[in-house]
Amino acid sequence: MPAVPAPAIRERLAALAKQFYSPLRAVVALIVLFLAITCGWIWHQRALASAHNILIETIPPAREALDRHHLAEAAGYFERAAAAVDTLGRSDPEAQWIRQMQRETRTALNLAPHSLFEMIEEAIDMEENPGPLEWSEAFRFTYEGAWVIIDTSAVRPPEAGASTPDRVELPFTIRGQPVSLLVDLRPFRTVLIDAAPQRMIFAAQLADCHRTADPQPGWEIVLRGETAFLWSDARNLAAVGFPEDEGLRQTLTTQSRLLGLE
Amino acid sequence: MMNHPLSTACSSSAALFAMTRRLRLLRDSGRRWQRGLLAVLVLIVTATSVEAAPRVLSVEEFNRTPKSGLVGKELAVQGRLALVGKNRLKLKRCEMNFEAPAGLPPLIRRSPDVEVSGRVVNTEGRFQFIVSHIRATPTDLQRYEEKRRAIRVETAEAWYELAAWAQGRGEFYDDAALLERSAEARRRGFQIERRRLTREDPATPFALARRVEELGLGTALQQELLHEGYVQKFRTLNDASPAEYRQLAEEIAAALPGCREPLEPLPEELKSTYDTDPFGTYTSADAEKRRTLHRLLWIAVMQKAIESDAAEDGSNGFEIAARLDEQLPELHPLAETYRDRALKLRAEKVANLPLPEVLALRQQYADRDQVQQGDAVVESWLALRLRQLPADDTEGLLDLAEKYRTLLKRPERAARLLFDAYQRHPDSPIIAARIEELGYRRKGNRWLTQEEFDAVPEGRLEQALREGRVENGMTADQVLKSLGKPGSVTRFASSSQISEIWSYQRAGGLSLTVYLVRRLPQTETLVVGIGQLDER
Repeated sequence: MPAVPAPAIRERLAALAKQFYSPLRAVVALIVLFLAITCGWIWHQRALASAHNILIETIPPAREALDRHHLAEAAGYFERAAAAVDTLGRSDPEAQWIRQMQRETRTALNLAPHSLFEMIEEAIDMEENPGPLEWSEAFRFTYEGAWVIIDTSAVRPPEAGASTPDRVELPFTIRGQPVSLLVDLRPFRTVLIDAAPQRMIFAAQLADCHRTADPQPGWEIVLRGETAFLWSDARNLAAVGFPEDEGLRQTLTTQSRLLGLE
Repeated sequence: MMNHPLSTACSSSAALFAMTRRLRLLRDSGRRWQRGLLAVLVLIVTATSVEAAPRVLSVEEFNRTPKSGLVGKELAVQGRLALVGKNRLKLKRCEMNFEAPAGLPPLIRRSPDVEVSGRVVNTEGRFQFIVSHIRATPTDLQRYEEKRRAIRVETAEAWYELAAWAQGRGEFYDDAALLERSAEARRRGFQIERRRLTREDPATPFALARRVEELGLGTALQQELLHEGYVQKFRTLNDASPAEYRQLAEEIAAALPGCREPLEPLPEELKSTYDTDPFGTYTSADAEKRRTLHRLLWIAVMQKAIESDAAEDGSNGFEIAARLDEQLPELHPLAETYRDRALKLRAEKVANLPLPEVLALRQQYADRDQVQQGDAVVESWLALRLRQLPADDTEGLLDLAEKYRTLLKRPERAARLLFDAYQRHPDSPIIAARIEELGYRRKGNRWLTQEEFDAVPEGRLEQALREGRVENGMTADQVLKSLGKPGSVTRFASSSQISEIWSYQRAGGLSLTVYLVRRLPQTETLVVGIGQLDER
């Protein structure tokens, strides 16, 4: 018996449509579609209105909280405000500022529990007095992912194509051992205008801290370059204890401008 | 000639036995009329023999009975042999002689107790007992044992009856052994009576104690019962009024000796044992120890009486302590705790007391060798005054500093207050003078003790500053003064602290790094380390 060729999919769909189609059904489907679109539109409008309201409600008290150096309170307001500007799909300077404030306040609340000096001291202690816990585990437990705000001088990183991240030499020794801070400064290329050292204030998460033999025996602190961001607000810095001075304000103003917040 | 006394005594019973045997034989032979006749005869003989049995009197009864009434009557006297002659005998405690004209059997001489049968005769106005026969009887002690064994159902009455019998005999013959048996029987009877009564009723021991007195069972047992009663009564007095406790204490003191004799010192071990098991401890204690236990019970009751008056907040602690010391000197440590509480209460209210009362309170502590607590009261008072002091009240601060110095002999605390005042008013010559009065010397902006001042003629940091060096502990300003502005500064913010690295370029590619830390909320940034790096 000869094989019957299978009908093409298009023909089958056409047959199926013909089977279900009727003028009445078509009208009902259009009405349902219209209603769904209308509901979605109403929901979206409400979400936008709500986001507007949130911005109106949160920004003034967030500013007040910042003025009072109440970081946790300010962070709460900025979280809501950042979600609102995302809903609104805004990318204007004010929206950028809100997102930046949200990042800064959240960072200020999640700083590393100890200073980098103490961290290296702890690492050397654990190395000299081995216990059940190795330093790498202790680091993961205590420091990895914690934020550090750094105010330092840096130079423009090498041109694109350089594979090694920029190394910021921390000019200090702990118990005679030099310490290097390794951070990828390429995201800040726009900030660092020329090869001359330039003051910059940024925050980044700690990624690693390990002993190194190159270029000389010492310690290497690695920051997560992808999390690094420039700081912009003096009040947030003051809230974590940074001393305010004219140079710092100028640096922050410059960085704010570069970030498109003004 | 007289029949042998023992055979005489047995003659009637032998006839009875013979007739009974004959009756049994006749019953077996079946002659009914003969059997009936013999039964009648047995009854007659029995009746005759019962009628013939003489009345038996004890010597005591015999002595009491008028002899004229006994003349000519057949009777028997039971007693203890005192003297035995050939034809006569004498019973103990009996005035009358017992005459046996036919002579006495030799066996009698070895029997201490006998029953003498015969007649009282009056011969020319003189009474004599003519013995018809005599037999040995069990001794009083043997009879006691028989009677004791005969008590099948143990009742208190049966034992008391036995005790009364033994006591009568014992007293009559002045027989210590029998009297002891009597006491024993009474004790047995009493124990049964005691068991019968419920122990839960606090009145029971008192009732038993009265019974003990009636029975003459001795003061030891009576005191034991009274003690038991008072302990139970004390236990039932829950949350009674002080008057009720005092009343009980009076009763105890009246009934139990030794209650008012203070113990020196309090026998802690005995008290502990007694508190755990008062009845057992008391029962096993000797008379001397019982006096101590009486005192312990009395102390417990009086303590309750006194402590019932104590205010819950301890405000009348001194009064309670005084009463404890007066009436229960053994509880002096307890009295001290009441005083401590009262003092503490007053100390807690120190904020509302004027200074003279605070000083009086301190004196009370001092009198009790609690100088530190007294000083703590004064210090609390001063601290409260300091807290209430307005920030700009420098005069008040000076006054408080003076009080710290004079009242507490705490010049260092006074100095701290003066330093605060000096910070507010650095130009005040009065404050500076007061600080100097305390022996401090000013060096720059710091006040040093004379020793510090002398020991550090030139401070370590000052010397380093002068020599252009940096030392740990220097402030950021001092580093600036010493080394000038750094070539670069790096700052890190971590939780609650700001770390700084100041870098100074030196000749030959060397760099000097100074590490500073400011721990929040401190305002001072201090050097925590110095390093040298070769940057070539």
